[in-house]
Amino acid sequence: MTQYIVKKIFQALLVLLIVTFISYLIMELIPGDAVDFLLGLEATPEKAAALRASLNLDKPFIVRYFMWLGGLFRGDMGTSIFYNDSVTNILVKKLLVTFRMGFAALIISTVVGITLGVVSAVNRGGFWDNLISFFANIGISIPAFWLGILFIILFAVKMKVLPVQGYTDPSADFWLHTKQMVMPVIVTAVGALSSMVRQTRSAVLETISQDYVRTAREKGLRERAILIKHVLRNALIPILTLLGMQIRVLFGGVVIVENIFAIPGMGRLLVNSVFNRDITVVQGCILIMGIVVIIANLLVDVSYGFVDPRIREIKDVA
Amino acid sequence: MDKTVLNVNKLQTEFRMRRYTVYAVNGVSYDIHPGEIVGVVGESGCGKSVSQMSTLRLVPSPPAHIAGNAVYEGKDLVDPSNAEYLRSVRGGKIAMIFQEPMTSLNPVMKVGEQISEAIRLHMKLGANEARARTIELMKKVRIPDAEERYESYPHEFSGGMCQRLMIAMAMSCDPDLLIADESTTALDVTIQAQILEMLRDVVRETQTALLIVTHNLGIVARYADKIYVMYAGSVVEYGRAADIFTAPSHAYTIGLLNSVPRLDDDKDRMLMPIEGFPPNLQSRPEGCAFSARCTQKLPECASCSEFPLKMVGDGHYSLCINDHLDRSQRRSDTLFEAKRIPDETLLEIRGLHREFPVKKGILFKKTVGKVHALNDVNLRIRRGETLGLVGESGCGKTTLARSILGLISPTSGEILYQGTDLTKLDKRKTREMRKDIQLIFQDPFASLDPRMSIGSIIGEPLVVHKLTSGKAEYLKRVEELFIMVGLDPSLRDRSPHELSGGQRQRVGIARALASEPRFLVCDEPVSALDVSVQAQILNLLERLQRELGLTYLFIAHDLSVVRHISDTIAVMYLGRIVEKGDWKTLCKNPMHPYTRALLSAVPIPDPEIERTRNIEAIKGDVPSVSRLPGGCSFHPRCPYASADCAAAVPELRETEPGHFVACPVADAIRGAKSQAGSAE
Repeated sequence: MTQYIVKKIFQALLVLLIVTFISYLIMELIPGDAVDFLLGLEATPEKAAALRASLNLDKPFIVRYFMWLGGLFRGDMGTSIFYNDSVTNILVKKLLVTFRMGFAALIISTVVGITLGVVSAVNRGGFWDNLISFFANIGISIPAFWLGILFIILFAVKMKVLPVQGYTDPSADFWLHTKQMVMPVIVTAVGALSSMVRQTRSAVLETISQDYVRTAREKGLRERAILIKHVLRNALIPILTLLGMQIRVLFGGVVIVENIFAIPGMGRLLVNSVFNRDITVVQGCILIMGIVVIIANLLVDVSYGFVDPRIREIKDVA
Repeated sequence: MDKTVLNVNKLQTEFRMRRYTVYAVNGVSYDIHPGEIVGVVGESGCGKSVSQMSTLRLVPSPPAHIAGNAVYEGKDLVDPSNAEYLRSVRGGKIAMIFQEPMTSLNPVMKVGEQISEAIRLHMKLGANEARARTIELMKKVRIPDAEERYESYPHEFSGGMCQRLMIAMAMSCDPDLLIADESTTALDVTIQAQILEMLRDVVRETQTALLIVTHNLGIVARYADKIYVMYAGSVVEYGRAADIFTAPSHAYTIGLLNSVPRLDDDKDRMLMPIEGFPPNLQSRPEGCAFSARCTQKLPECASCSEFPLKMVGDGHYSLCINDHLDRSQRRSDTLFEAKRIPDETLLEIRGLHREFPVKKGILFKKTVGKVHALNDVNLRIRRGETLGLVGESGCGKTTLARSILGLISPTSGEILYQGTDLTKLDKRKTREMRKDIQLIFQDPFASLDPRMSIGSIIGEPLVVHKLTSGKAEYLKRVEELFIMVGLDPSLRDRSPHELSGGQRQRVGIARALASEPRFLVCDEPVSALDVSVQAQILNLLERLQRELGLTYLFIAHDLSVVRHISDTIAVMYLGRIVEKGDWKTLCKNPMHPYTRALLSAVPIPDPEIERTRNIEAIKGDVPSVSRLPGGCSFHPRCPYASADCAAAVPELRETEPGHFVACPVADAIRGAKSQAGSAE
């Protein structure tokens, strides 16, 4: 098992290195740079060249990449030309906002999704199954931006129970913070929750028809014990796989939702920085997202091994 | 024997689906006494498993509706109001062992935990006591290193070992009744013999009643005291084992006995299949359910509504109303005319090796070992003969078949087909050669494209190889093929799922014959079929061989089938041929200890023979091909092995004309045996 985890970490580091390179490369390929933005209409070839030299933009791509990479090891992600602040400082502040929201959405979608999925599978073909499946199908097909707007009209404009948009730090006003977060969190969670319901339902149904569940029933165990001890653990593998992917999807969703509800998180920062040609910030955002996804996948991979002894063994041998 | 353990009375199970109802069990009654071994035999779909599962309410309900009763200790288990009581009986006093041992254990739970779970539940023992009892049970079913293996997971055991664990689990709470539902069907014959012998010893020792559900008549002949024969959801005949075999009193039982190839019968006996197919039970059978296939029916059989069980002997009952059943057909003397096989080589395999690399590494995989699937295989197949290849799972039979067909390329060696080396052909030539060499698959369900019509499946080779010119000729040829394999040409537009297993296998054969091949590789062609249908297919293959002058490589694990159809037999063990010779010498005079064990492990459907015969049981499991034992690969399991056996791989040597054995001690064993025999 240790060997397996070490191997996975090694692979993750390698992927991370590739991510840094690609995130640097992408911004390189986009036409226009910070100089165009900073100088705007005042640009003359001389001024531009001088500014490029001071920002190191005149050096070859590969040299700049290694300079940036070297900075990363020291915790220095460069300086934002737009905010005139260190990228690390900006990101840490924004990340906290995004993480809080994303984490809440992840917990809600996982816990509620698995519970509803199990209820649905156990009552297959019954009233609760039909009801849950119906809403899960709707939840999967609704785009987040549309649902967000719908929620604003309904709960904020018409019913006036929740604030339209905005963000307050929890240390300043916790109650307002909570009220402001309700809609964004739900809107982010709906899609993930729906796919979790469907995945859990099909995984549990698949497992229930296995021979070893028949054996468990033949042993005389109660249905509840069968479900918890024999079914759920076996159904966990496809659920975990989905969970790993959800984290990526949630991150993508956050970008949209933060813009709808005017939340100053990383999603908004990313979008604004792309328009501002604030390359160092964009690179930082992409890098952070890459790290989060890689860590999520690493955790999922490692937990596979804990759940299923067969995976543990294959991974140890191969 | 007054006390009964379980008394099942007029049990009925229907599966009420949305569009139709399946009448799976129609009034089955039986009883079992302490310490008794009862056999329930029948073909697939006859309701033998469903009736057992229904008594314990293990069938999913809905859609199942169960009526009748199953009385255990004065309480009816089928009655839904006794559900709580039933749960305490299930796995405690009545336990079941299922067919697929590998999938019947929870893959993510330690095996010891799975056994002790039942003990803690039913015997109310604490964790430590349950653990101790589990280890004791694991020792009883002969699991080596039981203490350490308690912590192992199911995938770390072989199929045979998993079945031992299932038996330990079933025996864990001192049950009164053990139900073994096709519990050895998925296992190799030598393992099957080990498990059944052990199971019998265990139940005899504990006076547990054992109910064996199986399609294998040999098994019930050897082990059962009493036999119930089931057909289309009813018990059609029951009685003492000896009576069922010596005086079968239902036309179906007679038909079943006639259709099984036996290790002890005349080689050229034509099997007597039961024509037609079992009913699908979507309507309640009117009259005798078997009458549609019965050759001995009376005019009233199809119309009569009531068939009372009639006593035909002491404790022997039958549903058949024909009082003058012809039992003489049992040993049909209809023989195929003997084949004359010219001494002309069609296919020769020389020094064939096939290795699969075992890879390891984090980023860059490097080869760290290899699996030797085929190891110096030499075979010669004459034109017009059938070469039977037997061996247990994982011995390399299928790898050999695939090599001949060019589906995998061998590591070294030659496959000479009429003088051309098939391994050296380019892609185009290989494709041309496929016309001449065709394959019949094992699984008639998975090997046909579900979206194609039967007609186009059979006709596809004609199109691929451009064998017919014009639509009319194509249709005529397809119809010819239908008739050749005994299929109704009007089935042409049906899909595969509308056909039964036997019909599908006929489709597979017709497809293989379409390109007029000379050589057919049959990879386990009948192992997925019921015995009555298996006989139909075997007869068809024999007839086609004579009519079309075909040559067969017939691969199977069932020695009685192989013996029945083959002219020459080769026995394979872990990638090597260990013995080969013509069928008669090989079966009458097996020399290799492995062949002897294989032959001895096959139960013969005759209680008189079985009761007096000792099985030459071999110990242990087939080792993994990736960790082959040195020297003779069989030596760790061989009862006669000496130090020499581990040292060098024995060569195939000719002990008598045409009989080759790869065992240095074969002569000594035979000498010892015949001396022992004469001393008796």
